[in-house]
This record gives sequence, C-alpha cells and structure tokens, in this order.
Amino acid sequence: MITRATLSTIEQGLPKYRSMLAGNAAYIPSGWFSIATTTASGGESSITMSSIPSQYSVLIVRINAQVEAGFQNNNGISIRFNGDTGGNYARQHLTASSSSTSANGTSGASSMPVPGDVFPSNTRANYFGVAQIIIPDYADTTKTKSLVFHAGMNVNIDTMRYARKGGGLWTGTAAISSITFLPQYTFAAGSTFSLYGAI
Amino acid sequence: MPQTYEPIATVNPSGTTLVTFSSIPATYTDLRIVANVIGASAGNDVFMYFNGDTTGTYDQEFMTQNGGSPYPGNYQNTQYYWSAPFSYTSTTRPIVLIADIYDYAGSKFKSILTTTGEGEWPQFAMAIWKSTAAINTIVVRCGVNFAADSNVTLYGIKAA
Repeated sequence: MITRATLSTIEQGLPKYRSMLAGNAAYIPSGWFSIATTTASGGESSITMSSIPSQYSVLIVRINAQVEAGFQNNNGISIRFNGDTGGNYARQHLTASSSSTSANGTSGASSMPVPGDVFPSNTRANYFGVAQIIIPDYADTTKTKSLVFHAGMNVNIDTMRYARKGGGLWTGTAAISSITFLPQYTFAAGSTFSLYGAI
Repeated sequence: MPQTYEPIATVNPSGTTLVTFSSIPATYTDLRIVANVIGASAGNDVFMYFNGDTTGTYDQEFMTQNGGSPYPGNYQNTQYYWSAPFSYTSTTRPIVLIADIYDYAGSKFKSILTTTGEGEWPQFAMAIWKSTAAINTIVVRCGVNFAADSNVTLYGIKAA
C-alpha cells in the first residue's frame, strides 16, 4: 500500500512512517525533538516562545542565562504560560546554598518563579546559571499543569552558590501554546532558551 | 524532524578505574552522562573531569540526605568534579548518575547539573568547571575498579 503524506501530517511536522507492508500501524519514533531556541542579544525584558505544537507528550525547557543587573547577585527568572497574568501560579523548591538548606514556596502568583533566583549578573563574565524544566501533559485541555525543575548557579568568588530542585503548578487547563521568560531585570547577551518536545 | 537527543558512545567498563570519552564532536548544544556504577569493592567515590584538567578548577554546591535532615555541602577548587559525594561504591548496589553539561563547546565556564541516587545519599548538585575551553574529553573515574555490569553512556542534545 502506498500511503500519501497529507497536508496535516506535514504541518504537524511529526515524523511518521508507514511500513512498506500493508496493514502495519504507523511508526512514530520516540525521543527528543528540538522545537525552538532563542538567544538573547541583551536588554530583553521578556522572551516568548509561541506557537508551541501540541503533538508531544512532554515539554523540556533548558536555560543557560545571565541577567543584566549591574551588580553581582543571584537574580531571578520566572515563567508565564499562554500570557496568563492572573494569580494562577504556585511553586515550591528546595535549595542548597553555601552549606545551608532552604525551602520556599509561593502561590497565587502572576507568574511562576521558576527556576527563580539562580542566575548571575553579566558583571561576572563566563558565569551562567542553568536550568531544566520538565512539563508533562502540557497539551492536555482538561487538567492543570504541573512541572518539575532542577537549576543552579555557582559563582564561588562571590559566595553565590545555589543548587535547587522544585515543582510548580499552573492552574490553567488550556494546552500550553506559549512560554514567556521574565528576568528580574533584563537578559544578558548570550543567554539561551531551548525548547524540546519528547514523545 | 531529526531527533535531537542521541547516544554518542556507551562503555561497559570492568577492571579499570577510568572511562574516557575522547574526540567528542562539537556539534551538540549540551551533553548528558548517564552512568550506572558498581564498584569492584565498596566504599569509594565517582569523579569526573574534563580535557584532562586536574588543576583545581571545579566548584560545586549540592544537597543530599540519608534518612535524616537535608544535608547541604560545597567544594571549591577541587581537582575533579566530585560527582557523587556521599554515594560510595557498592559491589551490589549501583550508583545512578545523570549529569547535564551545558554549552560544552562554548566559550563560557561550563555549568553542570547532576542528580545521583542509590539506596543511600541521593543528591542533586550544581557544579562549574572554570574553563572557557570546549570540552572534547570527559573522564569518569571510579575510586576503585568498575565492576562488570557497570555502564556509562554519553548523549548529545542538539537545539534548533
């Protein structure tokens, strides 16, 4: 059987192959697929990744960033889904910092403070904070969206050392179609935001 | 749409303390090490270092615990990235280690997020290798010989 590629298949960008043998089910390979990457040129007060396709099971966000703060500190980055500025975000995390531990939570926030304050300023060349955020079932339209994350920075010369893990909740039930990254100040040049879909 | 997370190499070490991944291509955005380490004897550690550098350029902050309160810690200017502190090798209980190395081919210092676990002392950490050189070699070092059934895999993650 010869199967014709349909327009919808092409538009979805989903790799799907049919066996040369008639009657076999479609084969959809598993793995990670790169959706988009944005690199800051410096001075951005927000960066948005929009038109996120709904075909994956899990979204994975990876951040490697600095903040233009004018002074060395641990600066924050928050996220917002679908442009929702309502008080619909919650977050809890555990942090190790300079041989002490802390736990922190927030709810009813207008953005999710994830990964939070683990990003150096660009006054320290070469030091960047990093994070990975995992969002399962992001395209579901019936339930709220939970995520987990791991993040940190390590600028030992300023005793700014953080290792963090946590979870977050967006109470929206819509499929996540856009993610906005919000820095405490502005993003420094060279900060990257990579979005992957996993099947 | 090409896959963006793919294995580069897998090693099943035995009778050696070192696993070396060399000539790592610079074509990925990030790297991931996934290791399952069983020791030929008990009570030793797992380390990592890059490009042969053992000159005291690794810093890390971590949190762990073992049936009690969270236990934070940090090390500075160490010879190796002490990838699984407090997770000592066992002859029967593997240490699982997942280490993400961000922008390994870039010109900034290299940031690493690590999660390790076994029956005791689960840990998460953030480490940095204070070098601007691209990583082309990674050594995973066990304090004793790796036992058979250990495995270490290097993955590449490629962004659009």
